[in-house]
Amino acid sequence: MRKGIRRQAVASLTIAWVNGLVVLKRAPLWVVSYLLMPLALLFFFRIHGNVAMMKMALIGGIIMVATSNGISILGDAAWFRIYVKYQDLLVATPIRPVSYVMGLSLSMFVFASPGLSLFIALASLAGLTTFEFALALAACTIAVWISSSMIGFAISTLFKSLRHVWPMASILSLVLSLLPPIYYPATVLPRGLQWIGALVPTGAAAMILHHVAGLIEVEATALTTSIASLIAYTATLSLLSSLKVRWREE
Amino acid sequence: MVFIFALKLLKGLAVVGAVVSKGVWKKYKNGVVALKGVSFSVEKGRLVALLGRNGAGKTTWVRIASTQLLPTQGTVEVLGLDVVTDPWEVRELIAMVPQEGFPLDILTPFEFVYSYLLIRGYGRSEAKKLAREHLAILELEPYAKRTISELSGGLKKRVLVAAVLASGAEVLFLDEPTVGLDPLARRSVWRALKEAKRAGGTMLLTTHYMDEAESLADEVVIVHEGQVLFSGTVEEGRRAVGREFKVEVYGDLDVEGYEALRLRGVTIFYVNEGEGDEVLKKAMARGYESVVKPTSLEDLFIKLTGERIEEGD
Repeated sequence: MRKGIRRQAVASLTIAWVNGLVVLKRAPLWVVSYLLMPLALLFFFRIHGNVAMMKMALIGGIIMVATSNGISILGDAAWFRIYVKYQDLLVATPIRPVSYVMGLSLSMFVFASPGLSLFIALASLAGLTTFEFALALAACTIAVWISSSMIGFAISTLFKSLRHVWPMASILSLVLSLLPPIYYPATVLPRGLQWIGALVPTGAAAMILHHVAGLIEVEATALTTSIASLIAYTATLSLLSSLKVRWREE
Repeated sequence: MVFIFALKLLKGLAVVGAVVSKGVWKKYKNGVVALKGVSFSVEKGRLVALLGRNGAGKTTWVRIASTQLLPTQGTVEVLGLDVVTDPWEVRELIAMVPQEGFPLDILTPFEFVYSYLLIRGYGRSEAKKLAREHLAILELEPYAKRTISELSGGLKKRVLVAAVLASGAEVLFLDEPTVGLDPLARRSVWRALKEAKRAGGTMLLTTHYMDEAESLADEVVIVHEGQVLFSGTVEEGRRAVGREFKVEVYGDLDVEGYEALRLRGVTIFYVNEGEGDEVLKKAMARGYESVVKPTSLEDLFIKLTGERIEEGD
């Protein structure tokens, strides 16, 4: 029997395997469904825009894929808790709630990986190939994935019926991917107010990536706010989700 | 000094209950009182059936004992560990089939059992071996490579039971594991549970099937409206009825000298050997059908609650 951290790590990876890799293999249509919107937006930006706008759509696509997959943890976590009682089955085992949340979150990343690979490959073809950009892209994608999946998980704990869960996942995904300055430059916001875009993790990540890719020149305050906001969101939401897991009801 | 030592020695030798429930109360936030001082204990290696109608409080108790729900008052100890103060130590020792639970339908039965065992901490080769063994015990081998979504509800339930039995946990909680199964599938689950019991497992099974309790359980705990009405062996339960036989008359009948119990158009008379002739004659004279049966746990339930168990919603 494995014990300690190794057991918890294996438990997380196992959940990522059953809820990520296996689903990806047996239900690949989901990949098409989450890629439709970012690919459609890329198509329109390519037809009607210039190279800079296309690069923005590619960065937007990466953020949207990470966000929509991260948020979709909402449906899986609620399904496991309310309908199939998988969470109940696991509560009566030595798995820790943090390992459970991490496993579910990892499974979302596994699921997002084909879409992310496609958009990263297209971004490379479009010339987004500098080392600084690659580094910023990796950090921002991971931060967006973690924060959006943690938002999804925390919200899933509030639902008692599955009926309301599915629309909520779509609404959140679109609100987080389209409203903040992701598919448009933060510089269109009034000067002195660009930091508003950094109030949500997706907006903050986009602002950093747009800046590093040389697509926009954001104010120093806005850039600092974005980096701080992204770090704070990732840390706070991870903590909040771990606390919100109803491992034992009152 | 010698006296204290002797006392400690005696305490150590005494049979320690694998599961001990002491005065457990549960009041939900909406004001519903699901448990009202539930006390009983289960010895190691015994299979105990918690018998009661839907809504009696069985699931609430199981959820408390399996560390999923906090009691309002009282304690439950699993192998000497308090489920409220030592949940992580308890979780190392238990496994549970949740009521209305299903295995993940995108997986095959083998993948589900194997992944459950990996999550519990088994190594890969041992998990594979145990998964194969328990799928065979529950007669799931022919379906091992099909996805669970293709299986019937009964087979799905058996996959869940296979996973929990394969865990090798010292105490198993099985919340209505055979609901919705056809008679053959139920018997396959029963066989697996009997085998697990022979291997020394302690099991708590909730059910509202009398035949299940009578066939499997060493002891039964009858729960009704959040209270324990009876706790003892199946034989003690039968004896507690006070009569060896019952005469069920399908009609309304009164016979002098016999106490009658009326349940939805059926009049029941409890009798001993050599008694009851007058009942049968009078029923025949009225043209009512009548049946003589040996008394069972169901009669104890009827006697204690005035209701049949299967009338529960």
